[in-house]
Amino acid sequence: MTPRRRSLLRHPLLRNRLSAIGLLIIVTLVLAGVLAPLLATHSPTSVSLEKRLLPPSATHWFGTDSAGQDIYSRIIWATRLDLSIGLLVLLVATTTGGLLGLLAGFFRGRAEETIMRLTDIFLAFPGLILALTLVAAVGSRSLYVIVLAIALRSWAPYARLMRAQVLAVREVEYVQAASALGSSRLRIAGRHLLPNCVSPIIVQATLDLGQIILTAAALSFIGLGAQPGEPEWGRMVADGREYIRTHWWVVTFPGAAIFLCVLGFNLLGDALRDYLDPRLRGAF
Amino acid sequence: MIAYLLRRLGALIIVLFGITLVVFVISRVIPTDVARLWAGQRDITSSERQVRMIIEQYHLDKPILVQYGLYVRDLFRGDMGISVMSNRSVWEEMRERIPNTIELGLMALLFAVPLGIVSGVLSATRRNSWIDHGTRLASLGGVSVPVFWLGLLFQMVLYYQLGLVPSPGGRLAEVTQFTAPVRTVTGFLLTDALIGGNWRALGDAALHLLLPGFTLALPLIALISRMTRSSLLEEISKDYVRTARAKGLAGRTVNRRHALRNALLPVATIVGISFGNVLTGSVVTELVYYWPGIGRYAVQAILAYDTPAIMAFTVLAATVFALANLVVDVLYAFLDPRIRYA
Repeated sequence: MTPRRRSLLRHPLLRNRLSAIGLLIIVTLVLAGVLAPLLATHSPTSVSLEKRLLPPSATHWFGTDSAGQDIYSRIIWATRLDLSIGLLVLLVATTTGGLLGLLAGFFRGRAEETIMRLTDIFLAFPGLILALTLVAAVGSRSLYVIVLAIALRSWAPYARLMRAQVLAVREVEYVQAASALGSSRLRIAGRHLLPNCVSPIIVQATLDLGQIILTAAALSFIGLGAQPGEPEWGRMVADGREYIRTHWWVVTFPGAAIFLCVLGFNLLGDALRDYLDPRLRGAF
Repeated sequence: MIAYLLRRLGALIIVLFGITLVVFVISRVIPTDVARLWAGQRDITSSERQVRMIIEQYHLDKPILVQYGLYVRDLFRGDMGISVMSNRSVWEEMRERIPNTIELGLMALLFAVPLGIVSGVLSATRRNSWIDHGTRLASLGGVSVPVFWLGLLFQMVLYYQLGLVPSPGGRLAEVTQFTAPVRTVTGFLLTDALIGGNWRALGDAALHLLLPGFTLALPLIALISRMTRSSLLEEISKDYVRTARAKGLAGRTVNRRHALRNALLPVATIVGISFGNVLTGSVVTELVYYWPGIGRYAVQAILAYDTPAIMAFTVLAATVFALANLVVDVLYAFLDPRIRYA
């Protein structure tokens, strides 16, 4: 047998230094989220007025905020919320957009026309602004509202991508062969078109995840995302804003967490694109 | 070309109607009791009379389709409703603030376009050098950084620690507002200061513009730089560039006269999209720098549940975004005939 099962460490994605760093950041963050109860040194929500605004020290690694809460522990706990929002939005956006794109590319005609017009309309909205409008209209700020608000615009690029991909793949010989052999349309769509259309979706999704997390953080910073008191990165930056003059650590660390997280997904997304789509190698 | 233009304009009209429909559904259909939501959020004691006034004004008792028709009609007449926050016309409120956002956006593009293109070209022509690696890493950072955090860090270091920039509080220092007040002519502060020959105010306003402009520009610089690099690299690898080199033309001449011209086409797209992105970016940037533009106004409106103002802002932002995309597409088709006939 050919040595197909090479060591995982020799995988091209890990040999590229930048993508390895990206992967490392993301794995660390996911672990931090999963192991939050073990990694946090303090409770993320215990308020203590005598411990307000303490600078970073051996007990409070990143200092404390204006309510005396340990910033390090809050950042660790917030990883859960921020990553969940990102993944949930992605799940809704890719399935909705992917399905609509598949329908449009597969059935053509009236259905395609309608779906693509709808896509154009939603693409005309800047993502953050549409999310703001929806959160304002619903008036509730639960996790699901935030997820829906961001997904409301994020599905559109996937529909467009999926349709283009389906149109390209459906004319390929093996699809025609399957059709000639009498496969049903549903089987062709599910077994042949879908699997061959996913790789650009994966690339787009990885790059998107960073943007989604940025949007969620911006929503919270504005005051529309997480509930007051809840540990969330954007909210923590907003809470520290009053103190930037005298207490630098309150805004610096939560913002750095957002930055690292988004950077990680972008590094990985770039590398994944080069890897899955060699035509674009070296692009961006 | 004309057929292409007409086709694109037709598509634009559908998109514009779609925008109003989406905004209408979100703001008017999703909330259960629209009138009470608008009236009630301002103060709890808002009377039945107020609710009735709102119902009357926004035709809330009519069937939903009729309501939509009336909403679009009012929008066409430039009537965006009355702001719940201030009881003034939303359009008047917006008109006062739009020039501030435009000046901020232009400042950002003034930073973003040259810096983005130059760094992208340097990166591509010196591929795999330390300049290339540095630029790529910096631009990756630029698209990953949360703008609101960056703005606060800039303030923390450049203003509070080093005192290099004026205080992040709007367009003019308080002193200037008293010693050299600017007479409003066009609404654009820099232009008005220039018209009035008010050099002190002009200098002060320009200083106040620099840091917010740069903050808003940073993600755009990164985006344009990445696009320029990849697009130029692709052109450089093409046959005609090799031919030009084989003819004996100097590498720099080939890059500048041949490759760069073609490489800038996709860059034009990104610059156009940047125009649209300026409005989104302005929401957060204006909030951080207390900038009196429409982005900050939108946030105030949202926090006050000022639905007419929110609707107006969203429609405006989406329209600007759609128009920017159209202009880019048309420009693109004009420059590249292959698209027109596709």
